[in-house]
Amino acid sequence: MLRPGELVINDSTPTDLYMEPLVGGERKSHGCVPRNWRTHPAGCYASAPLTAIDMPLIPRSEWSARLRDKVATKSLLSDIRLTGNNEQIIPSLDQDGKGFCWAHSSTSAIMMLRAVANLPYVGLSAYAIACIIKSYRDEGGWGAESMDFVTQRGVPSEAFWPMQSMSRSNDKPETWANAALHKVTEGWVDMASAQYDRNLTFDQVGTLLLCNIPVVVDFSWWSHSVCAIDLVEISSGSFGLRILNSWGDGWSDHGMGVLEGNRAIPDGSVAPRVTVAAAA
Amino acid sequence: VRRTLFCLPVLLLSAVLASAAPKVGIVAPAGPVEPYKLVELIPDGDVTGAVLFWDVDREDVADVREYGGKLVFTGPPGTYRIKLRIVRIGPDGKTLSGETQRATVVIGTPTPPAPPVPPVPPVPPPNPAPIPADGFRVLVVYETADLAKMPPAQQQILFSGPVRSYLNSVCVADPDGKTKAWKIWDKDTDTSAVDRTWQDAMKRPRASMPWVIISNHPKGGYEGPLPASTDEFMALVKKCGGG
Repeated sequence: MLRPGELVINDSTPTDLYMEPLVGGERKSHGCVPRNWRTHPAGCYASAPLTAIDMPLIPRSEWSARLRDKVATKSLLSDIRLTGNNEQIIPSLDQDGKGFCWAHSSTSAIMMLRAVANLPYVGLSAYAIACIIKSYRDEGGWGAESMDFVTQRGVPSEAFWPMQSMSRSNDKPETWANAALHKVTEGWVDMASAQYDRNLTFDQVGTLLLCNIPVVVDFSWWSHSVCAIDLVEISSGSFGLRILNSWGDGWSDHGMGVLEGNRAIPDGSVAPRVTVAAAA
Repeated sequence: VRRTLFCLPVLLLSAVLASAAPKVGIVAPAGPVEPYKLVELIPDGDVTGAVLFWDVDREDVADVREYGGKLVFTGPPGTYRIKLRIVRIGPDGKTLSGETQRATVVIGTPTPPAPPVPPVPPVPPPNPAPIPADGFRVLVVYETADLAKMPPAQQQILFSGPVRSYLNSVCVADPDGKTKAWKIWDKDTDTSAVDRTWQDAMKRPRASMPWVIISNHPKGGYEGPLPASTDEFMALVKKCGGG
């Protein structure tokens, strides 16, 4: 079920709505570069021991009924996002013109996992991840890169590394002590490229979302990495992904939109499962 | 009703002299008698010169009168057993003969015997609160890798909006000052950075997964397998004093 005002991106959607769109007068950017699967195959990241989802797939025949129940009981990750900040919405992140979508998608996923666990809302700074990995250069990357970093070092709160700051002065021991409070602790799932079996890829992502596990999804056609939060039945038997973008709450419906059809098949996807429980 | 000390001699002599006495019956109502109507019983036979002793088994509830050799009584609905003993004095003025007749009278519709009252099970003492911190707290522990296998109705407990809102309304504030004291955590969650209360709760033994701890210190609580549905979970929360 679509939400009011929600942008659905499919093959017929005007590109100016999702390719470097103007949102609030600002030109939004992307930053996802295709993962080099030869040099970085699934399983190459030591912090991701799981190269395929280690849970059974929920068959598509069950998806409609499960989704109806989740909508009726407000059990979707998007529902949890709407109240996960002390009964207020968890704001979407804003990469602010830099090519750091690939760090924001992972950071959004960590924030969603915290909301599911009923840990307090803490604004996390994706810039810290991107600045350290790319040595403060505005460069593209892919979701698995940032997730691997979050597993090893975590991501600091905006109190220690302000959002959208590229100042080297943020890089202090106390920043990374705080970042460790927001680590991914249980092996994240590094799913293989969709090149050979696109249905399997989508079924894996769908299963994770039905279990309220957010999935970082990279799209080569979009040069963009976002956080998938819901499986959506757009029409009978036709499913898409509700994503949480990193273009601020001004884009689409509070920063959330839906990808449909070919646009919803990720070229790379990773899923964090457990984070540290920390209040700060 | 006549309580008499003559009973014993009557019984002893009746065996010896019964053959010489004429038989006497009792004229009694054939069917049930309407409640609050008088019941009259009359000896059926020659009782000339005999002494009659009427006896009603439920004399504690019946109102009984004897006159002219008849028995008249009334009482609450029920079954009454009547006994008539007839004692005669022989021609020699010394020997006694006797006989006994019985009748049953039903007043109203007989009430079936009351079923035995099942014993009231003793009220178990409330389980001690699993979390030794005042107030209402809930901890659900699950295994993320098993989520796809968890029945959807049970999975909803973890994510349902109404459940989360309800827990927000009944749980005390967490030390972070932002959230209420309910958590839904993977069993392997690193809790070293949270309040000691939650660390200790996560260390409590668990017999199965998923597991729930509901603590309403100092009143009591529950810890055990997670119920199968949101309805059962909410009922359990309320039973423990949540709302």
